[in-house]
Amino acid sequence: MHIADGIIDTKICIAAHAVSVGLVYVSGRKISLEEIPKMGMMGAALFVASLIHFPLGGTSIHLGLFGIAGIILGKRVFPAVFTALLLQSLIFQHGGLITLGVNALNMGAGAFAAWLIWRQKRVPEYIRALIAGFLGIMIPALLMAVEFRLSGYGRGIMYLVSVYLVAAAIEAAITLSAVRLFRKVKPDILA
Amino acid sequence: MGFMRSILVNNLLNRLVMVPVCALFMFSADIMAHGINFEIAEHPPVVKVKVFFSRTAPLVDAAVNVYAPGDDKPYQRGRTDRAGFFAFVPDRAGDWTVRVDDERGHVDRVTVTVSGNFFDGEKAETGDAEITELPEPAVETIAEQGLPVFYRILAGLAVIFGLTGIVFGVRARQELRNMNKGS
Repeated sequence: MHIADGIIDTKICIAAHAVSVGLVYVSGRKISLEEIPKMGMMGAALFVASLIHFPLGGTSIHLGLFGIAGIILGKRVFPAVFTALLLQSLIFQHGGLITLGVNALNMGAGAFAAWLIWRQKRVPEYIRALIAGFLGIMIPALLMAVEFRLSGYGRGIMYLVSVYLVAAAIEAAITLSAVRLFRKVKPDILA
Repeated sequence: MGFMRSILVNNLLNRLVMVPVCALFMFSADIMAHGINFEIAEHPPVVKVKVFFSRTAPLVDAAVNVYAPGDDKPYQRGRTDRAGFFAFVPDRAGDWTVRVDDERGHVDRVTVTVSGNFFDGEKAETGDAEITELPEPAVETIAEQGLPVFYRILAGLAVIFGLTGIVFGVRARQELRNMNKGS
């Protein structure tokens, strides 16, 4: 899901960088003291999550935790996603530095969608958690598939998205279990 | 009755959730960088490329394009085998680009520098034993270098928590200043 350098057109990457930096500023503005440790913890979780991976049909998929990040951080999720991706790129060369903006927008969109779903309080909590976890992976996967297709890579959007269905299902289960745990031990952390 | 049913549904839900979560951690290969990794080996006149996700998971049936130095059109196309291997025979010295696309969301490239020594080695009999006779490595091996994975994870976490502390300190100072102004 982390796009490497040299895949996407450089002009698009620069534009994505500019939008990402703007979003980091906007979503990190006027932050309260209580929110800062939460952002740090979720940033650390996002950084480590993508290192836990497992083989699937000759390829490899990994955790994202964008769903639970969106639920916990709400509109403050983007700086955490951006920082985690920057460090993954610098330390593990997981995703490119030039494509950092594109990757941040893809994955930030998943986390943001998760937050929007989580706000629909009329829907039962476990359904919201499942959908948030699922979309946290599927939206970045869909965006990446479209970008790959426009750049002339990949077999097809639907094929690529179908690979990530398994990861999204696992992520939905993890998000649900995390929400249930937080509801029991620290309910105020859920945005 | 409703209360009992709620307990039963909750227990069932917990188990349904925990099974895939536990399975995930049981089957995860190991904890390290998930991106595409390369191992380059010289077997004159062949350059052998191993493509893998981790130390143990080969990238199977991935599309590979090889580009000769300064050439935009592929010199060779192919796919990795079941063990993640791909090989090509360079016809000149220079920087060769190997681009790998697993068509499932992972694309990466590696530069293989072929020096003139590589073609000296071609005169020797091919096979692993003969390669050691080369005067110096003719092909740069791109291997994971630097700190072990565990220390790199610690370094990343240290940066994140350090940044969190700095931002927290700055914001706390601002709040304190505002409170002092107010009083």
